[in-house]
Amino acid sequence: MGNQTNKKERRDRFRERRGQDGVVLLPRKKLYRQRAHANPFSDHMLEYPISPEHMDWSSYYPSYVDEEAPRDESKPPRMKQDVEIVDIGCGFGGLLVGLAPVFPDKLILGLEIRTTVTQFVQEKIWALRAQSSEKLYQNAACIRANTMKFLPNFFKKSQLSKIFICFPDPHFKTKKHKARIVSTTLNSEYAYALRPGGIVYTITDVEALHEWMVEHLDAHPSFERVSKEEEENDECVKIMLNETEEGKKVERNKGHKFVALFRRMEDPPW
Amino acid sequence: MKIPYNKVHVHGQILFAARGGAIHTFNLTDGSHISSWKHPDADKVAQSIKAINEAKAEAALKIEAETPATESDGPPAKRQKLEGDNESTSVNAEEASAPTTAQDEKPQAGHFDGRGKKGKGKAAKDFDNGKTRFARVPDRPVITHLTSTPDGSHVVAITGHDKIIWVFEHDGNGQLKQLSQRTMPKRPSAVAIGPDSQIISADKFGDVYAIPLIIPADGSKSLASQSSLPLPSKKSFKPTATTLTVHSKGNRLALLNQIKQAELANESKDHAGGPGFELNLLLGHVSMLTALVLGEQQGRKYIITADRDEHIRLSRYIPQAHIIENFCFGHKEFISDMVIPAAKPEILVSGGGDEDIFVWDWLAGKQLFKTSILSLAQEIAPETTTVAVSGLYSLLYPSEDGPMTYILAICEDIKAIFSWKLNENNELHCPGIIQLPGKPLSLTISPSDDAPPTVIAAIEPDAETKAQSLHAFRLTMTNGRLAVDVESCFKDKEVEANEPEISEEDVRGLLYTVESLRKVVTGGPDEEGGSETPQGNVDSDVAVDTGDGEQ
Repeated sequence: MGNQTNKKERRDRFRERRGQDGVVLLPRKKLYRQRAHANPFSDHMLEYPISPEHMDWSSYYPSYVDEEAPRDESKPPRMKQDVEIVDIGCGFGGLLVGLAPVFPDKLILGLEIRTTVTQFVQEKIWALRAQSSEKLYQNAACIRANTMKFLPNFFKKSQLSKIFICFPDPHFKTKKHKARIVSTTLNSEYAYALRPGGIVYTITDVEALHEWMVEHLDAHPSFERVSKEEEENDECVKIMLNETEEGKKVERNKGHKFVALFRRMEDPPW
Repeated sequence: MKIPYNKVHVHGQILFAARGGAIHTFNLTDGSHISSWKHPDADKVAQSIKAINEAKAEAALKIEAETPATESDGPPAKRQKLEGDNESTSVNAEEASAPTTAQDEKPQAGHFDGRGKKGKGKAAKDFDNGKTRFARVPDRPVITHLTSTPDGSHVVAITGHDKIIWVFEHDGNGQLKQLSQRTMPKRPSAVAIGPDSQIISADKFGDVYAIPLIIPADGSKSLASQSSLPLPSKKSFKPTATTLTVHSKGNRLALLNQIKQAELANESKDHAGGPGFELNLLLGHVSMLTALVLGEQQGRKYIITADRDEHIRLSRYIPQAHIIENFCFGHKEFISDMVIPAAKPEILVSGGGDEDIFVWDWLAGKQLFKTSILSLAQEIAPETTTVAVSGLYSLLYPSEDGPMTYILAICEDIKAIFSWKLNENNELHCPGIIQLPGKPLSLTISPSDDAPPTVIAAIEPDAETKAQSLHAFRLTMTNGRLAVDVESCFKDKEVEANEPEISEEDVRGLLYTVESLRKVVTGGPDEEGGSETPQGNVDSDVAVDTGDGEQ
């Protein structure tokens, strides 16, 4: 505990310092490290909207608030557009920062279950926005959420066009497989939030997990694997390989990276 | 006290009433007892509990004379281990083991092999240390769900402690013949019988399975198997980490050990296959499922599932159960029961830990109405601050303008039945309160064509009123509100006399489980986060690094 309190104090001190002299500093990762695992089945003290309509995005994307829309006090402020790209388990937000300039007209959201890590990403984006002279990074944000339980609370049906699942917790033990972020039953929820034609991007350095994700997404009737060719031409894949924090770490350790993309198909007639 | 009736279900003139691990059938017209079925564990457990209690009492006397009692506490009661475990733990239990068929043994042997062994090892160790002087109190069998097919030809019951789904053939006159017993992977928490003779069962782990009502003799697969999501395949173990992914010294060591373990495991070669019967995974939540109903509109069928995390999910029925159509958002606490009124197939009524009962257009995922059940409960028990709805039911009350739909609700620990009229605007009006001589555990409604329906309530009788645990009454209506007309009773003296004694505490633990679904606010300021904006949290209290780990 002693160490953690120190970290907290140092974080506070850093925060006090960085606003001074008109220079906006990026947060330092070492002050925000947190245990790499979270129990997705635990209740935690999560905050989540009752439904997507109840979600107030205005503080996350302040420059996308629709100022002209008539204000209804009972509802959160209207946005000009909805979140379309989601990074599930965004970690320290490398992918968000990489994607934001590439998709300047799309709202990108990182979802992370660890509190301190979420704060790091939020502060990083805040600092990047302040530093950027071309008003970049206004379209990126991060929230704390347990997507395995509450993804549908944030996004309407068919709202998303891309879901990224980068270097997820492998949960090696068979008993913990239900805690994996890709599972047969969870894939149905991804299919719900994705529009037909939308793509799930997966990347991992654990071959067995890669096989698991491929097996489960392949077997799900709503998804089909994207061809290798298309995969190679997708600029998101390059960002995913090189910009994610984990991706860089694996590169340093000369590990393998396994990529697989899946397209959400149209629902069969019912 | 005796364990009260805890589940009731009526079909035609036959009442099926579950009491602990037994199902009794009664004739509704004259209240006579027809037959009984008992869970094979019921007597065994009762006897071993008795023996343990005697042994404990004896030991308590002894210890009292010697030292302060420490050992008499024993280990906390654990979930009963399945199969062979019984010999090692319940020393006093009768050797007569449950008459299980080979087919039923298989899943246990396969699925729980590893765990079973571990448990045994531990138990053995405890015995060596002389720590456990008494056997663990085995779980009493309790029938948690009881339902029948629409034509009444089959009855399905679920016992929670052993995760078994029982199927009985019903001759139409109250005689039950056990057809099959199947052990599910996890404890079922809700069940429905589909129109195509599929049992749709939701479990506490969040998964929904379909199993055929009747096990086909020729081993042929049903339609559900085509839509089944693949179950996790059981391959021989292979360490998933490699030297490329593991970097620290400790982890490398762990990997080495893993590889060694794998070699050992492969040598012993005890890999058993699946559950041994057709089991089709349809869908799943990452949350405890609490209720499941089947709906149909415009010829299309749907599965509606509710969980502890406030979700009501609408999925297509077999063979497209993997497609989520919608969610009904609005609950702020767990959901515990849902009902679709027979005369209004487009309407769903749901309730749980919230103070309101919700009415939905379930296909559109639209909330139509809500009304407070807490305020009604406060009329009975003014000090009530929260309610936990334990059951929702619908009935049709005949009237000159055609049958009217009523919704009935019971709440845990509230000695009453609440009723509302569901009007043509799909709003709940005319709230009525029917007081009961005890806490209700389950209701069932026996309709009749032109007379008012009869309600049969399973209640835990009050110590003062000494009422019967089975409470039946004909309804009447005054000013649109339901009230009691004529009470009738069942002849269950004999059944009552044969029931073993049980402590009040045990009854509470076994039969009052709804309120415990409520989320408890734990942790301190360290758990915050989520809604904070990047700008906003600069000055705020910052989360420390604990809290998100395993709890």
